[in-house]
Amino acid sequence: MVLADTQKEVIEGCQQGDPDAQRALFERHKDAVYSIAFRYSGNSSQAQDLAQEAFIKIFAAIGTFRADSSFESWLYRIVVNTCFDHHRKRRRIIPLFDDFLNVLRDPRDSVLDRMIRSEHSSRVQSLIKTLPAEQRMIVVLRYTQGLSYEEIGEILGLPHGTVASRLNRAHKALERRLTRLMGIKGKNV
Amino acid sequence: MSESRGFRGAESWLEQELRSGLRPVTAAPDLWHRIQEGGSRADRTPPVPLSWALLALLAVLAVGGGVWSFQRIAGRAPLDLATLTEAEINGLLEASGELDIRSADFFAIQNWIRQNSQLNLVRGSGEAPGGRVRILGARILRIRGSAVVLLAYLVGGHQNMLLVSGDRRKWDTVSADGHAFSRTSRLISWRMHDQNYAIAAARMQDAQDGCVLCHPSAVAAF
Repeated sequence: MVLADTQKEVIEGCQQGDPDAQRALFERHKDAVYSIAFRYSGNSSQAQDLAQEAFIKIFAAIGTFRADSSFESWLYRIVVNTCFDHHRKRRRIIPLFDDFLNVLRDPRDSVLDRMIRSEHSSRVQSLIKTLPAEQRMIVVLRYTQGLSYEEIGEILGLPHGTVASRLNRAHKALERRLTRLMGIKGKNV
Repeated sequence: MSESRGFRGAESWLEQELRSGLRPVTAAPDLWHRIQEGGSRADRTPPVPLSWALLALLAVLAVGGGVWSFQRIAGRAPLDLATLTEAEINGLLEASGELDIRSADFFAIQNWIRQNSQLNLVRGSGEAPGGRVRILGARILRIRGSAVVLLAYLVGGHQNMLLVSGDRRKWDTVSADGHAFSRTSRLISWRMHDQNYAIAAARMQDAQDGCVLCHPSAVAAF
């Protein structure tokens, strides 16, 4: 209850525009927000933009949050909608340049160093990018945040059964592609 | 949040793979400052008068027209492999890596490329890659609708990549077949078997080392 009370105080502080409370809320949720953005977009600079935009929206809208519902669900819903909005905008505006944006990546680290270092993570991450936006988000919420079907449904506004069937569809697609990529014949590896 | 979080019972290999590959990451340290800057910019923004809104609309239309024109031009304009490769060296595969196939077997990669593109990865000699070469894998890039193959490999532990493209209209840098080379500091490019090739090295002094992929017993001399 101490944690719950602290969170309540932090939220109330944010609703009154207290900068310390905003910082405390940010510190508590920054990794979760960034992780969703990064795993959804597959790109660290996009994820930074998405996380920044999401937090600005969170602080702007926190006055509308009512304590009788789950704060995490409310917060995740803003992050998810920010990701979806960004995805829609990118699809609409100059898709031709996406290939080039993907080629011109962050120059801070050398190419193959990172490739070797993140081999496993990148294999899954690159497959995730092939899923439709909503399926991809369900997979991210499930495996990055460890949320239940009910929690994912609450965030996305979907019935529990729909979440289960879409996750199942994503599993089948990923299993097929991952199996091919890894050269696995059976499932028990 | 509900208590019924995630993973009940035995996880399948796929679930383990996904949970490991999609594990949470740590936010960048400067994120808070970015939010402060973004938030304060938003706070300072005054209400937009109608005349400004109209001007903004006109500007958007003008920029949109410019982008549309640029896209049309960009779709036709040649883009040489040297430009692409330099961009690749300067930071292609970010944290999310993105090789489509990971294998140390050159012939497996060659077959995969044949199956997934119109390109054929031809090596100049029939010799197997030498002991200093370790092939990592390959990726097919789609640039303006054309396939470009990227083969990533290490030579003596240093990073190299071979790029191959086939669309002469879009990628033409050398007009005739044969080993007509052009070199920059970190890049060697040539045309062979009706395809464009380029080798790039992450370090300037390694550029010629990349040639041992196809010529393991020869010292490249240009």
